[in-house]
Amino acid sequence: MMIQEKMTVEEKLRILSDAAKYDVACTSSGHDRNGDGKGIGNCIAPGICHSFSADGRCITLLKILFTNECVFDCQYCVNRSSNDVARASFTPEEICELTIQFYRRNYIEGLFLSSGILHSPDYTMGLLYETVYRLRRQYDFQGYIHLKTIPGASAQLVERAGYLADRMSVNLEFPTAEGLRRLAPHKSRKTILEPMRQIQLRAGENRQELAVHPHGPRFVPAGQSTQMIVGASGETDYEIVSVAEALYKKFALKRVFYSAFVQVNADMELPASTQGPPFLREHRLYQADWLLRFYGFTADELLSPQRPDLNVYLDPKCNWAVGHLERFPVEINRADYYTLIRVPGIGAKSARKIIGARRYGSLDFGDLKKMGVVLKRAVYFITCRGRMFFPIKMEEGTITRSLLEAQGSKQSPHGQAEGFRQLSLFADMGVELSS
Amino acid sequence: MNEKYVLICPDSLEGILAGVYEGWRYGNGGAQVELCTEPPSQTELFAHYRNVDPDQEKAEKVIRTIKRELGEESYEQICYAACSEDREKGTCIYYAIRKGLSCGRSHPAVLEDLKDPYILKLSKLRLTVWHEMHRMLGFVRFREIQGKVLLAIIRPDNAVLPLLAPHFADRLPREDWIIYDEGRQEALIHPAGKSCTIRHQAELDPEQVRESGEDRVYAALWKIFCQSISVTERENLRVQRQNLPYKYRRYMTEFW
Repeated sequence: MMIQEKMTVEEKLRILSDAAKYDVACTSSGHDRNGDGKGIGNCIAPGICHSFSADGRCITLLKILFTNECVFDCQYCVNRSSNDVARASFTPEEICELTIQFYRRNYIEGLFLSSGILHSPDYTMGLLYETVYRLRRQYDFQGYIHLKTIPGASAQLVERAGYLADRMSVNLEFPTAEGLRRLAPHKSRKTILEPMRQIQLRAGENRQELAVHPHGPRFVPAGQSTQMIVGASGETDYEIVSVAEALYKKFALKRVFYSAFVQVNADMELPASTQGPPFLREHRLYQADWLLRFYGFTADELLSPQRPDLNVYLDPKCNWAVGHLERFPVEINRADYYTLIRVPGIGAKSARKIIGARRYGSLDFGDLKKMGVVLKRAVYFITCRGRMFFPIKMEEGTITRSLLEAQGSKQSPHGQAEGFRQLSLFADMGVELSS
Repeated sequence: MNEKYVLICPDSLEGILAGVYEGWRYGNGGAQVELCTEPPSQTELFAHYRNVDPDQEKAEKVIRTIKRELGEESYEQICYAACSEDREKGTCIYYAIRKGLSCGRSHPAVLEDLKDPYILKLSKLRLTVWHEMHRMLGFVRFREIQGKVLLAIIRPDNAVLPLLAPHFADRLPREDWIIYDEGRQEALIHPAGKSCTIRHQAELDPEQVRESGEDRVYAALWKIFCQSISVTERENLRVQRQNLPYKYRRYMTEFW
């Protein structure tokens, strides 16, 4: 390893943003805050994307590590202590200056600061705290700050940092404690869940304090998030979705992110990358996640121990709908909001439009189309004024096939036999070849 | 056949609403009304043409009525639609308001009646303008020129400049900044600690807009960041293009 005494900010930025790129969380959402007119910055609750990188993901925050030196040796991580990679560390001053200069040019929405473990968790957390303290107090920065909680840092430091950050997160990494023990030997369920619980409880107390003193200090106002790696430790989708559901319900998390496992280290504990990262699986998990958060679904409705994996050919909502045809078709002019959003192809926006418009007269398929409701999937599950768009046999196989054809999928989920096929004179008609 | 009146009004919210005020009495007589924000290239034989002067007082009256009868939200929707580049926006706003008021106050959400073609168009215009405005909140790129002034040049499809003003004034209150709409030659000017003004027919002096030396350093750093933050294994230029169309990239530092 080459040790350089003086590294330019440019080199550091290259190394430390490269090292931070596997962290998925890049949202600036969840909190509205106007500037006070004296400093710099504000926050917008829906978040703002500032750019998009070549992988199609949005760039919102200056996403960097404080340092990529690390005493932990997690098998999946590019910065693990046994890897020979170029190491660098910022100083708090450098990070503040970069953030402010990028921010005033409207490059970014704020700062995302994570770090490798330098010396000890407490020492690292102290450095992160010092950085955001300077940024908030000295530079009067009122933009968005997303701060990583270092697993194993003391409760006191976490609490103080929480008053400066908008969002805090600690990555769960693996849905099962066993996977974590195997692949991240220096982290444990306890050191991850403890700060999560602490932040949740403190934020709850803080909400009550704010009810009495509305202008008092705010503790992690944009809530917590976490991240799970998909496809590295052999877990099922059912396990992942159930864990996500528990995190939303029991830990009041704002977001759970899923990251398809990208092989950066060859290690015997890790799955060999023969098929490339499981991006489709990640996509399906995000869809299921949305169903949990906004559509009133539960993990047990989507998956079960008998059917533990999401269907790769159909999105989770379609998959659920074709399995529950007894609930369909629903009448567009009568169904309530929560029934409407369970129809494949109809989301929150379309449902609100339908409910708003049908107050002024009943709707038919033409009206829906004009309003911009996507009918591609929905036609199989709805009626307008009691009629379906065209006669459809309400039967799982038929609808599944039609849906797959509509999305132009080449493969059938059940292999060749289920699709339409050419009639065969010999096999189907019972004609025997006689010799 | 119904008579047809074409009102030519200034291309601004006040102009259009003054046009709505003027057009009301023609509409009461059962005539067809059209509001244009630019002089028509071809005139129709059987239509009456009227010029509408910008009249703050008449516009205010219409605004008061909209807010009282249709609610703040409807007013906001009309404000967004008025910034659109669509030629039929004036006519849409006119008929949407007519429809809204004909229902009376018991229907404050009348602009949700998407079966009405004008209301549907109005909601689409609002969405297009809102969407572009929201994109511009992120895509505006300032560069530092002489005297620490921040300058951004944009070329949006719709006239979003007035919609950007409150956001950036709140975000950068202690900076001198200018956002220049190249296509419309309008400049949004914000002197430090003061409120924004819009200057029409503004032109940029190419000498004065050159970035400072320090600015080049940060622009270079930003480019490095944008490259190294991308995960090579996940490269997906199609999604990048969907989210960030080429037409905006010309004005963004990271694509220079």
